[in-house]
Amino acid sequence: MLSNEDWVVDSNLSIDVSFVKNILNCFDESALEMTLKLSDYVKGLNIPINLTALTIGDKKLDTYLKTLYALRFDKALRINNNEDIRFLPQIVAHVISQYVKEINKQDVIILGRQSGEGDNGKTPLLVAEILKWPCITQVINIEADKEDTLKVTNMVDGGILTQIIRTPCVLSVGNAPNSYMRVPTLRDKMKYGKREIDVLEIDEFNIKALLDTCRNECELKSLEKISHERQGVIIEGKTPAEKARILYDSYLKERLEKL
Amino acid sequence: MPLTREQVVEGLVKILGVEKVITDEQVLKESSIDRFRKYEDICGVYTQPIPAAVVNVESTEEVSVVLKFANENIINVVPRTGHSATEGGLETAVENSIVVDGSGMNRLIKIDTYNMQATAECGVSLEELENKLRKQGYTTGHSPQSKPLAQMGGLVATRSIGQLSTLYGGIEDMVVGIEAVFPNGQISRIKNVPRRAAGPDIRHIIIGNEGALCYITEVTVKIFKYMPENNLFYGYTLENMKTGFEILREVMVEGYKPSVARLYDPEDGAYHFSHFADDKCVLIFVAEGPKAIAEATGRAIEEIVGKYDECKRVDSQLIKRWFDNLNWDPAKVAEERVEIAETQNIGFTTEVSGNWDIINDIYEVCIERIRNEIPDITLIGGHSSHSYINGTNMYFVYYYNLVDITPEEEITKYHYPIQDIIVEETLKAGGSMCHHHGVGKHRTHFIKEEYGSSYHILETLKKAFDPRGIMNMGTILPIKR
Amino acid sequence: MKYTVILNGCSSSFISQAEEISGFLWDNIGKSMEGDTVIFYSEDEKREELIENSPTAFVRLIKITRYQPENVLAILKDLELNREVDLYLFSRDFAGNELSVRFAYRMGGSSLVSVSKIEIGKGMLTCCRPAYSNNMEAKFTLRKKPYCIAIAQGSTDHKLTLDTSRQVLSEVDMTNMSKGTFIKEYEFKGEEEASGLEHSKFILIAGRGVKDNKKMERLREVAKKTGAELGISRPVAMKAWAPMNRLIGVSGAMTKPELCITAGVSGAAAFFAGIEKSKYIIAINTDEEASIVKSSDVAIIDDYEIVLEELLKIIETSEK
Repeated sequence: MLSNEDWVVDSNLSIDVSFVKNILNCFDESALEMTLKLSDYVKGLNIPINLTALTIGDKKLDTYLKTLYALRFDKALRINNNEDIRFLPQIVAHVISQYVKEINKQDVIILGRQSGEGDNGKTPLLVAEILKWPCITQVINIEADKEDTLKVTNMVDGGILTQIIRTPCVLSVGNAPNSYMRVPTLRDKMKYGKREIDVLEIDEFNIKALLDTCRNECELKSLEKISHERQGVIIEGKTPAEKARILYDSYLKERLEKL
Repeated sequence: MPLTREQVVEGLVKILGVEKVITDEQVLKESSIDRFRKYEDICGVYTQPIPAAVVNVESTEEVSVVLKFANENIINVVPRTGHSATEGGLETAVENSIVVDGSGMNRLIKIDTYNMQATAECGVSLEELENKLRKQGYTTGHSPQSKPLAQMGGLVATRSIGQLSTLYGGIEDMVVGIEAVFPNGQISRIKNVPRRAAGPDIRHIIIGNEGALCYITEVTVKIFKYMPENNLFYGYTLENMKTGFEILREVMVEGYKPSVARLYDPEDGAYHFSHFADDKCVLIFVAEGPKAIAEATGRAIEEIVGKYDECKRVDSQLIKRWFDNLNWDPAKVAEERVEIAETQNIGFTTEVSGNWDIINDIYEVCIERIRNEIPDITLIGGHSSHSYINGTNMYFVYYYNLVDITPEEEITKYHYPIQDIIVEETLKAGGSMCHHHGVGKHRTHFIKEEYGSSYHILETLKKAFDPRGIMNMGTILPIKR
Repeated sequence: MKYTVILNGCSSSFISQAEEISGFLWDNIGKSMEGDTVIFYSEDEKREELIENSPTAFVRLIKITRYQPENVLAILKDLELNREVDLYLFSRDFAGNELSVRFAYRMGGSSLVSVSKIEIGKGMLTCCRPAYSNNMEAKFTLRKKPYCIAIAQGSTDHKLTLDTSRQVLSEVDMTNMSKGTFIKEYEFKGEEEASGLEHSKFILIAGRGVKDNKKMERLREVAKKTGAELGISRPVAMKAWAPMNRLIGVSGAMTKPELCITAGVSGAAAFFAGIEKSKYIIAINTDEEASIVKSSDVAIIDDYEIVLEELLKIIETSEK
């Protein structure tokens, strides 16, 4: 969404993205839709299911949580945070796991595999490590099996794995074929989407000391724009044959060989 | 005896040669509809009569012989260029139609920067023309969302309007001269002059005819100096649409011409501006033109809006970013198909207009009725995007979940009832049922009411220019069954 | 300073993973450090091939029943706990990503994935990797050993193998390891070779500059002879000179080939979205002003027909 001139890095190494529309990142959106499908399915089997949505960030995120209420999540929670944790997945994982351990026990934690800003790709893995739960990565489908088992499909190197697994576990959602979340009707928004969002402060999760440690252990030094612009080099030559020769020798030969 | 499908094709091949007559099944199916039936398209269900052929014409003369052939044999002709229509205008409503595709007539004939006009064949894409002009420091001033797809012939045929219309006008204000072909094969050229009082302005028989009277083959439009460096951007949030309409009115009545003057209601605003709208209405202005004029317009806007306490100014960067991405993003158009298929959630729009004294009522009653009467609605909102001294338009935007339907029921269960509420209420209040998409084929049952006693003129035009009724049957005027 | 490479020998792409690691080592470490490679494997018949392709001369082998990350992590931790290794390198695949992060946590070290380059400093490791959905490159300093790094896809142009002989330092058989209770059942389906335009590596695209069906036919032959998939733009599709499933752009295939050659394509936005993700775009068009020219990596302003015929001659003679 941002054009080239927008990628301005300030002295805190942050980028102002406030003038473009927020969207859910595709992995999170897939994860949410998978969760809703799982919930539909489980409800159909008359197995009780309770859905909690948790996010960490500022008030802007409440609109997504309200949508999730309208889509019949049982609880929507925001952990209020103004610290820069874009590149500190350890903090995110710490908060999530502490919430699950101490405040609201869960059988399954479903997460998108990475965010569009930090691109860390670590949070779900760290949550699993902290909780000492097993983890499945690159999940593309979740189905109900029995009360304490799930049928999970994920991409692995060289193929697709479908496993029946016992909970508890952490599921990290990858490039699923379906990446859009359903849309609640106006009526459901009115009926269910007006509930207050639960808010906790991130300070309640004792992150102060951890913040300093993490920032020191993995310190962001710089952010630089990667150029994706093409050069549009025009080949000069007297005849088409000459141009074709130049194209082949200088630009094409090596690329063809690599294919 | 009407010609059989095979005879139609045979006749066309004789005229144009086999290369230009397309009978490939998939091409024909896709050519039986436009974006009004995008759900059927996504589902691969085609409910309209499949045309006998799509013909790729490459010259005005070819158009002329094809129309003559169709006229002699009473075969329905659907003129088409960019295929970006949204109201069914490109649907082939009767059996064995011929879709006459002019997108191959894509020569940019002349850019005349001394007389400030550009002449293009009907298949020149607006984007291409605009980009060429901008490189030389000029612009068409025409910027509909469909710019990446739409072509000049279709834009003129549908009385298109762009997002900068409040300054530059609709396409009818831009067109200088036209060349068009009538069903009897007659090629008519209207010359390019600044103005004339030599009888009625016959350009208006052609502009907006939606292919129901003639085939537009060439257009000449005005061009303007392109000075984006002078653009000034203004954005505000406010509580009420009514206030917003008042402000729009005041800006117009005081004699200012911002290029963009838009007012979004909270629902539509949240869809586009969730990052700052905060569930409020959003008011946007862009002032452009020569520096002194842009600045004066900008100052006036600030002054006028400043009188309304409920308006809170937002960072103009926010508006600039939005302005830089005005048009359909082609990648998003592709994505839309996937999104609809996955979420079974689909959106359409209906655009109407009314004078200042009725527009807010139209807005309120339509929103209220749709909310209450239509099932499975996920979003109903709208915006005003084109203002005039005497009124403005209202562009309703609606999304719904598709629940328990077959692909062909999408239209009857949702789209028609919503559209009909909007049109009914608009006509009742005294507004117009079509602001800029054209009538197409799905609002024709209201056409008599839209025209009132002036329907006589419309009907006579059709009879006079298309006496055998071969031009885009069912468009503007309903098919008599 | 010492490093260890961890590779999954159960993966069908082991060789290319190993080559990429070799390239990464060559680019970033050279011969200044000593290292070895740990390879997990399950099939005896592959053992020799795995050893031969190791990116380092020293190899440690671990035999397992199948690659299962929970088990592999447990084994790795036991194996490495008391070794003084500064840097662990993991492959760029799913396994490498997962193992690097989880292993680092268990070892009390630090990790990064998708790393395109590293630089070894005193008491620290500087790493670069993409952020902001590949729009920015972020540079980090890691200060906690062991550094566990999963390399990025395409982080090196050097695909090479070592020419020294390999030495197996140790071999462990863990096939008797308890399977645990997490997984009740599993089923693996090998990837089928994906086909179609969306997965094609090399695409030749015909645009409206292709004037008739005969010329289209010739282009089809040229595509076949050069090993390209044939794509078409909308004007060509609507003339039905090629089937609709060849259509590229917003109403057709959205492709991401390594190499894309456009012939007589003007490059309207609705089309270009369909090739935007190409690694390399070559445009042939008579009109220098056509928007495709500016959106390409390299362009020839000339008649596509003559250029392609010449090109075909060159390619065919150079193949002989």
